[in-house]
Amino acid sequence: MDPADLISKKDLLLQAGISYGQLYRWKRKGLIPEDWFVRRSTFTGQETFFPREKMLARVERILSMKDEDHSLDDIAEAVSPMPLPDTFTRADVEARSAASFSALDLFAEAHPGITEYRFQELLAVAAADELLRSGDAGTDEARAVMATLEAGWVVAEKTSMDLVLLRKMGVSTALLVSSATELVVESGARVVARVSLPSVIEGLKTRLRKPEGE
Amino acid sequence: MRIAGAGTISGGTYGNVTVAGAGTVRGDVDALAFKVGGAVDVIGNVKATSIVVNGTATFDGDVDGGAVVINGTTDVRGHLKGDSLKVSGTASIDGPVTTQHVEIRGTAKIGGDVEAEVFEAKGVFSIGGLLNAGTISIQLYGGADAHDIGGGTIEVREGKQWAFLPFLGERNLTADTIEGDTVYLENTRAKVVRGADVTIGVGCRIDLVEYTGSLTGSAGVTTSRKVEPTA
Repeated sequence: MDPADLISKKDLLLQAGISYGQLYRWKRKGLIPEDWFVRRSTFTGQETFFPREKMLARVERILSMKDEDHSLDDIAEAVSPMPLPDTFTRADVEARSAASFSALDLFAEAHPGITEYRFQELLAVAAADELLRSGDAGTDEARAVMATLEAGWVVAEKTSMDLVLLRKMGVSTALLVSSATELVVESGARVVARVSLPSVIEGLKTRLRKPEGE
Repeated sequence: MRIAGAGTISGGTYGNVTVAGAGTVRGDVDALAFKVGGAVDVIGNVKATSIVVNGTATFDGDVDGGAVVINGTTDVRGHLKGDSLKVSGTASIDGPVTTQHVEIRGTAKIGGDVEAEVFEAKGVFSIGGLLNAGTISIQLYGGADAHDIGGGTIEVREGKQWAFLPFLGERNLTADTIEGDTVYLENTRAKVVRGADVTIGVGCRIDLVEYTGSLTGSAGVTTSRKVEPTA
């Protein structure tokens, strides 16, 4: 990772106005993913760095949830990449605008019998939805993305992964890689989109947790 | 379930399990109180509301033990989870330890990270990973080391010396990095100590101290500097 995209622990504490004790407690509670702690040798010895944007956003989120009087356990659940155990009906999903109709229709087309969606299925829908909305993916690619996520969920559930959409001469491929991986592709090919699954999970959770119609 | 002589039980769900003789458990066990007076070898994972080892126990897998008390000798090959861990005997745990309260009066060797709200030691310990606890209170009665230490309040003191006892050998704590809000150190060897308010007592050897609030005492500190907000 480019050093400019990293923030040292010291700078983070000063900038965010938090203490070592807080940061270590958050780590214990699982509020900060293990793979965000990047150890580097500096001229003063070993130091810990974090991915700057992600970490500052996470700290802000934790502090604002604390202001709303949420317990650390609540916050941990909200930010963790763990799936929600519940299942959701199409009406639930629509009432909370958790995914667009077009993405849900695509999923329904592939699985005609399903009336109750599990979290991981909605994740596949939400990720495809994100790519459809941004215009990065067409309908066929969205279908491929959903199929990839459904097949790859066993792995994606355990580690932090990114969804990558590659395209070469109009032919596209969807793949899952672990978040820390650097991708190098041949010159004729292009990475059309790279989406961090933990952030899709977090966004989906927030929408599903919302009371109806808000 | 009680093993009094020599016996093997298979995994499963039990009420209280007591091993008085020599026993082997094959498979995962879910029990209420799990007591070992003799010797037990568990080939599987254990989940119990409490575990007391007065004899010898080897756990091949993970242990989720509620209140865990080790008076005898215990090996855990996996992860140890629970509400509390008290070691008065000898414990060797390969995986990480995640619990609310850790108390070490005997000897503990832990390969992974230790996470607890409160960590108290009056014994000898070695931690291969990060010791992360809200409150860390260490009295040195022998050698102690951790790869790194982090938390809220960290206090390391030399244990009391009794005039009638022979010299017990080196009584030092060694760690790479120690980070906390309030840090008090005696007899500590570290590369870097970072904190808000740091006090350096007797017998320390520290390469670098970085503090944001105050630094009291500097004997044995090579370099110290106050870190100010840059913005």
